[in-house]
Amino acid sequence: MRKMFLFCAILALLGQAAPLRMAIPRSEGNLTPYTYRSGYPGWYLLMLVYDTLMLVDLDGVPRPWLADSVEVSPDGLVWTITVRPDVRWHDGQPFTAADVKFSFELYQRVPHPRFSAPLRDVAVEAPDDRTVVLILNKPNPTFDLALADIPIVPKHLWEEAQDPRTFGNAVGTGPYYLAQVVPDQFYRLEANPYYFAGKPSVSTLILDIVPDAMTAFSALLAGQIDVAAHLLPPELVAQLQTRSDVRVMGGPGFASFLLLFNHGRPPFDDPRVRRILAGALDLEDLVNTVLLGYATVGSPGFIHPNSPWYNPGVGAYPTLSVDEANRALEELGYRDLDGDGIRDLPDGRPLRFELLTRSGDPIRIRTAELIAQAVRPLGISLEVRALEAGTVDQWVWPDFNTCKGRNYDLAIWGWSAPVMTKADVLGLFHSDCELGRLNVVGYANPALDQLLEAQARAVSHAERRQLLWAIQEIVAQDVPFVTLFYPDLLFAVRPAAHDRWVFLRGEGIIHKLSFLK
Amino acid sequence: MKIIGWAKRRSAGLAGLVILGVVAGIASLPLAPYDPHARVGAPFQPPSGRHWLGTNDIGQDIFSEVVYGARTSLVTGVLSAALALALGLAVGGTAGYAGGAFDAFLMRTVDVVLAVPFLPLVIVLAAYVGPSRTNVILVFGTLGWARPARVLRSQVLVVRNLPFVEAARALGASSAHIFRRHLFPAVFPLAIAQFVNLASSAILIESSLAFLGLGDPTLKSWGTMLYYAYMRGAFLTGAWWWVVPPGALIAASVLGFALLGYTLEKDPRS
Repeated sequence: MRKMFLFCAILALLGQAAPLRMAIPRSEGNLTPYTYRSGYPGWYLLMLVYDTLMLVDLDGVPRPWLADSVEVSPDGLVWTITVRPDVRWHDGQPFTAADVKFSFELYQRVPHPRFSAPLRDVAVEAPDDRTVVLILNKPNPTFDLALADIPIVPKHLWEEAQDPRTFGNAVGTGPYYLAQVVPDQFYRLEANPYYFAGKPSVSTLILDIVPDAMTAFSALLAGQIDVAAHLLPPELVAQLQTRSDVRVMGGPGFASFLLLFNHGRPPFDDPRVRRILAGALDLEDLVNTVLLGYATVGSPGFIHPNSPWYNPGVGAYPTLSVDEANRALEELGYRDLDGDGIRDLPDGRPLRFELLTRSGDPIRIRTAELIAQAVRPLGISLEVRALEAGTVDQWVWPDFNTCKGRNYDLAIWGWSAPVMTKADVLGLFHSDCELGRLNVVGYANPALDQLLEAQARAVSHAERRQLLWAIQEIVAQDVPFVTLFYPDLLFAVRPAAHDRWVFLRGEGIIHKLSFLK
Repeated sequence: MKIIGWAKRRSAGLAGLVILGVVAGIASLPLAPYDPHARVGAPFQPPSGRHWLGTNDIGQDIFSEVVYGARTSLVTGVLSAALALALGLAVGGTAGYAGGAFDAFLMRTVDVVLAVPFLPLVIVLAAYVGPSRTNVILVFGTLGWARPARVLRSQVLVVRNLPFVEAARALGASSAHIFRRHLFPAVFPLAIAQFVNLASSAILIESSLAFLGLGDPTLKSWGTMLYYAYMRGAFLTGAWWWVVPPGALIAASVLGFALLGYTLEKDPRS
């Protein structure tokens, strides 16, 4: 801290602009592709140092970035990319197609949890300095999003790296270069004056590691930091809005919160029961209570209403009154056989279940409590069980592998924004666990499987959209899980320090475009 | 005059009793205006005539939570202390009475348990066995017995060698008889003092674990209330009505037990 203070003092003496200070929740290694740690904000910070061939613009559409042009063959298999001629690495070396080929082959050779999967079975050619040819063995309708996701590293530095996983030389082409790292304390990023998209609007960026969100917001109110990458909890919005020196920014987020049913345990194998339960929940009330209204109510087709893939035809979950829900359960044969106030399965087992949730997250615990209260009048008893996050993950999604089954009744679960951005319905809903990597409920619908495979083979966005609309309608009928809500992304900033924040659809304000003119 | 003198010498203990009486009163009287689990208002309401201490993050009445939290804290404190004391009595009593290698073995075990950093171990164990009140009680019981065991053993050692106990033994009294007639009455007042001290630290531990999110988050306790208050920004929004009552009551009950324990330890017959 003292060092930083001294540094600020020197800057002030030199008459330069004060640095922008951002609180980030955890250390992100050396801000290199193999050492950064979190999807948010880690990947977005990585992208201040590195660039991608394409960049998702403010409308959520990938556009050429390091690439000058991207051409796709009619069968969707051959992607011909021309790279920009005017880009240099932070060390002054020119950026060429050879760097792209090297980077893609690096992620194929050294597995990376995020960048390797879309490059599997992709052949990379670099016939000349400005051309990259990518040959896929099957169409991938979201390959442009992958090109906007995978950072390009400099061949001349990385080919000498002993172990890319620990290689810490963060030289990229991005708007900032890494000037200083004090492990577990802060990063200092300096603007790259030769950046091809123009010199960034903030000359010095200091990333302070502040693990606790409340501490970060206290520091923001005290003027010690100018922006927090931590999401602002809804309950602080009213308080912060009264301050003239702090601005609250926000918009819809693409992270989703779900109520999972284990389809392997009756009665949750029956879509009619799942529909009744979904209908008995008042999602509007849930959002207004737990998130004070700062969330979008879940769509029964899972896809967020702000996503380009959203089918407005799926509407909302049907709402049932307690009486209607009780009557419907009665008709399905779930009666209270022993008179204890809890309905029973036809074989006599009571509808008493555990609702699993993470203990560290009050939003999830409160959501679970409200759901348990809402279904109690239906004669269904849910006991909220809050366990440490790792244990919950292991029970719901053992080793992140749906082929290993599942061990829960009901659970509160969440998927991060990329699942929505990519509309990864194949992973979410396919009954084959190799394909349905995210199908943590064990949902199986053979008719849907065919549509899911077809949309994964779709060549054009239009073709894929049509299939995704049909998929959302089936999902809304089957209710494999209840999509509860998508929390808004809320941020607090001090506009006096920097006032060019732009809200990227579903992803927030911490990203490259907030620092470009 | 005698009574005043008695009260003066034991004013700390009396104060402790009064404080505990108030806390127990809060816990036992049918004071809670609402079911603490029911949503009875809008979330994040400041104190009002309907909700004396406002409402929490999902619209539950904070005053009712405080009342139910008192029950949780007192019950947890007493049960944890009882378990730890029972273990301590068993170990201390048998070690002191048996003596020799058995005593040495048990006392080295006590040394080991005492040497272990208490709070970090409790945190690790609580995280490992999972959040529930039973687990908190078990963890506290299995770690908290060492100090009372040592104190009670020394008392047993003193009493065991008193002439009338030796005489009883020489007359052929059984161990069980000596325990019952001579050792237990001599150790009992000290055990009460130990119990009070244990209860005070158990309440503190329970609250700490709950505050750290290692308790059962669906159980109404003062520590859980502080956990939600902290996690949902009460410290930043200045919602003192959510923080001060449970905090002050934790402090009060710990203080009450501590004052009582202090007086009892100084003069076990008071």
